[in-house]
Amino acid sequence: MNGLSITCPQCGFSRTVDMQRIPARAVRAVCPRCRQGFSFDRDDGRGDQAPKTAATSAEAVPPPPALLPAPPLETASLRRIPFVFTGNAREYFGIWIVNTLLKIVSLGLYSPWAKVRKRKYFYGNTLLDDAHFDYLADPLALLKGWLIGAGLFILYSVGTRFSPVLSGALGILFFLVLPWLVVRSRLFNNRNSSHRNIRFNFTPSYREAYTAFAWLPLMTPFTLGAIVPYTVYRQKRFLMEHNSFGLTPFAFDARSGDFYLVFVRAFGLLLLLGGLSFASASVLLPVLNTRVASAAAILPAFLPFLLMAGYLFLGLYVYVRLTNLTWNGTRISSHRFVSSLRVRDMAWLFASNALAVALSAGLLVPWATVRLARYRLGHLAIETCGELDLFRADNIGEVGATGEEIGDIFGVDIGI
Amino acid sequence: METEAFYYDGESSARSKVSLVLAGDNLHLRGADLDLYFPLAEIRISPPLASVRRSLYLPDGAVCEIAGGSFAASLEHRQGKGSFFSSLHRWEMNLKRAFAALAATISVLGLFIHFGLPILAKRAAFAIPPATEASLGIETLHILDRTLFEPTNLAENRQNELRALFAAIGTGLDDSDRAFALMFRRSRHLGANALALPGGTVVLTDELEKLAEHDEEIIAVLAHEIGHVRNRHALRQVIQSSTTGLIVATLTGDVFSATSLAAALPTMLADASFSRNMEREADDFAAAYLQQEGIPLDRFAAILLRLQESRGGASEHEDQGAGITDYLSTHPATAERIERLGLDGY
Repeated sequence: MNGLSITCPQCGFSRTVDMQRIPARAVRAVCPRCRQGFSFDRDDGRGDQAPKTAATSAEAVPPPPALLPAPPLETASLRRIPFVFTGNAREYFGIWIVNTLLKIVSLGLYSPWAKVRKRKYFYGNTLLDDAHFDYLADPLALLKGWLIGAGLFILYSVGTRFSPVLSGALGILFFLVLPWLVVRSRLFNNRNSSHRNIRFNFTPSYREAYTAFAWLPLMTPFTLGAIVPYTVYRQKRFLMEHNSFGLTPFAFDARSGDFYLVFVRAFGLLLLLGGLSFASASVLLPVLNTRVASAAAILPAFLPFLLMAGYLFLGLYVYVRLTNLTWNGTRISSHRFVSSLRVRDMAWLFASNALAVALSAGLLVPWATVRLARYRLGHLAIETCGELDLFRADNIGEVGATGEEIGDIFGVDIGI
Repeated sequence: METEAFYYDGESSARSKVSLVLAGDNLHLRGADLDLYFPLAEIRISPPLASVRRSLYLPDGAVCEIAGGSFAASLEHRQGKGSFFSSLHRWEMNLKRAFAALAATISVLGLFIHFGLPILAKRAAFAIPPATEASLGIETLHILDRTLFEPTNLAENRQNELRALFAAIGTGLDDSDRAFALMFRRSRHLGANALALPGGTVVLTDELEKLAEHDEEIIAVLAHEIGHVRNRHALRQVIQSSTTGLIVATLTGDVFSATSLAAALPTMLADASFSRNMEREADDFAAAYLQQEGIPLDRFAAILLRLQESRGGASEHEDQGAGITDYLSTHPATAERIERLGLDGY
């Protein structure tokens, strides 16, 4: 069947319509859900924000000469395009070690160049439909951000050592600028990432950023934590929905109920874990005490480790499930992401990576990083009925790297 | 010279196949519907990086992706650019050289933390105004009062006697802008101890006052602490350890959190070794003061030995000197310190 997925720009409702049923000259549609009229693009089915902008962008971007292949909608059927990671540990080891040396010799000043080189390696080895990604950041822009971040880090570490007041103030300040940092670093990263020579972009909305990363987290104690899944949902939605690839925005249609389900399951596992450890402490221990004294001496020593492993596993469970939920709820025009990470695989990866890194005094870090990237990208794909040829570029300006680098040096992870 | 390439015009995500030919100072791009010339000097070429496809960023915003590295390399050669990155690339791709880089990394890092950082920290510490240092000292004392210290039990007149001894050490010094002050505290956790805080405040514990059998022993300890103050040791230590933290954070920035323990270790090791050098500096100052006052160095040695016994340190163990435990301990082995005072046979 020749289907065209048409997406409403107002409410994000999407439906695949048989090409034969669309009149040849139709350019406007009415959304069945919100009754909003909009014009749509026959090439990718994406509704334009308003007919006016559609007209101006058509003027600004003249249709390229016949080098665009004819829209291959005749052959469209649902297919899965996997992400492929082609890097290997041996290559990355060389890059990593040389980066490390140059960073030390230059007292850290080389780190922006090192970062660009590392990112270029990982992006350049990430293929989608046999086209790689590219990281385009200017190391000099990163250097400015690095210098500011390093200054703040010194202030912070001296401050926390000597003055609880100062460290408290810095903590509050950091909390206040965090949403800003999130938006700036997202903007910087997206605008400096490209695929098929089309850059990604991010539509900044500080109001939404402050809701998701400051107000909702503040509500956590007042709701006894019941708001946490919703907060996470809003954060993921914010980070995904404002992305765009060229002129094409991402859409996010995961439901907050699914996020609650993940947390409820994790909470159930937590209760089970707590119950088990309580039972082993209160029932098992006295019994063992009377029978085997040596076993009773060993068990309390191992119990904390077992508990720790249990909590780490729970954390990983939440992380993996949320990552899958987030990607699976993300679309870019009619192309849907499919993420199929498995908790047990990730647990094995993390545990073996941590062990290998610890036993090799850090030398296996490149191997561990490559291994993780290969697994994660190997379980991410795009499901589409169309081609990836039909995206259009946008002219976007430069953005400073301060947000990105400060977040980096303080270890704030705002990845997806 | 000719090669096949993928062409992306930068306006749409469409991909087409083109062939590239180097024609004089121009790059000739030919595709199904394209026939373009670009001056070589205006083309930016992505640096060589493992086996990642090379990109040519054309002046009109389009990009060409080339699978093999040799065409891009010859363009770069013609441009006369990119020699830094191509040598970097050769280095990264050669496992032997990478291991040489590893050895160099470890030795450079070690040398810097051991020799370079203390010098930089000393410069920085002496550049910080005394008022800033003093306020840091007050904050530290507040924290210690809450966590480790209890009020003193020493009689008022005994406190005054000791303050007079302390003031005598401070008067002859050129540190006129420094507000030396002696405080008394009791501490079950620290036991017999004396601390030099940033800014000039020295704290003496009741337990140390009891341990000392002669006031000259206390003078030796106080002189040692003033040695710390004069050399801005507290501040230098903070600067050194936070800089080490910064270095470690930068280096391990691309490492996930599993290695955070490994990251903390160098900081600890560096901290310990800095303290040892500082203890030696403070010992030297104390010894000079004692000699100037005509007090026998035996007094200092005696209190050091008694301090060591009070902490349950087995003397024969410390006599063995160097080794990893020696490196990890914040104070140099007592025997070594006494030896430095010139009292080998004590």
